[in-house]
Amino acid sequence: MTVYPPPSLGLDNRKFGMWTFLASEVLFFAVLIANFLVLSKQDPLGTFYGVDTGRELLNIPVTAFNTFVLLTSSFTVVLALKSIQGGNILQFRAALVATLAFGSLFIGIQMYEYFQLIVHEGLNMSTLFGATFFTLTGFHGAHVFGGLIWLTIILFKAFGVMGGFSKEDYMGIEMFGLYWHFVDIVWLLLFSLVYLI
Amino acid sequence: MSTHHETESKLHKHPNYFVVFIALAVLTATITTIELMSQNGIIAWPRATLNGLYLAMSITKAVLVALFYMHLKIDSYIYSILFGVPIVFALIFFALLLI
Repeated sequence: MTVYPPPSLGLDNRKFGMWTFLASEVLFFAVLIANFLVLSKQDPLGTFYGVDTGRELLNIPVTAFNTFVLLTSSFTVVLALKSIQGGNILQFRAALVATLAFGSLFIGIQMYEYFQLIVHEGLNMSTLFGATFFTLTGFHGAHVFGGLIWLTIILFKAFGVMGGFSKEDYMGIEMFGLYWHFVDIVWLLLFSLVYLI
Repeated sequence: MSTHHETESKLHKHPNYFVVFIALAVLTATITTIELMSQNGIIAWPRATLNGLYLAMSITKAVLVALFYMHLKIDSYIYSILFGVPIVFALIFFALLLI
């Protein structure tokens, strides 16, 4: 296990770095959300479809279920961290596999939603609502996808390839957890701001 | 300020994650049900009330995740400041957009 000297703040460098990255991500998503909130309401799409905005095209029950899926994946990540800190390797591995499954399901459902919107509802990037909607939710989806790649690498390590995790060495899981929970937080806000409000 | 080791030992005292998960699921189910009831004419609350409710419940969920799943409640306060400052900037940005 590599032991890093604590910086002047008495904090772990890796964790501090991750929180700094997440701080930058807050502003990244803030701009995208503002972009959506301002531009989507000015869309002439409403006239075309006979509705106020393009929001009426969105499938709320399916997205609510997808929100529940992502919430469950967040729960399995903290379960994985708790398990490795307690030395329960079997539960740790099972929780990580469950996270990968729920994360993949989230992406799958988002792809289904996009397919329905594009093919059956005719929504596309040429409208302001479509452009801002797909940019915002697409960037979030890309973050989930990036997280799944990271999780796959972690899983290799968890199953003994490229080292491994232990009761003493779990920082990799904690940092992944921070990223994953942040992505979850962003989605919880998007669900309300994009689909409900 | 708590030391690195004190913080690490605190992080091993896990909150009840399942209770947090249930709270998050119930809040999500509640706002979804309210919106669907509103769309189907079962309830006729003003749009502004609904939007305020959805926003409040979403922020509550986000805070729950940050405090308990991301351990901001028990971890060093420096992480809270680091994460909180851009949120304040984002809120100022949103406020300026409304002007």
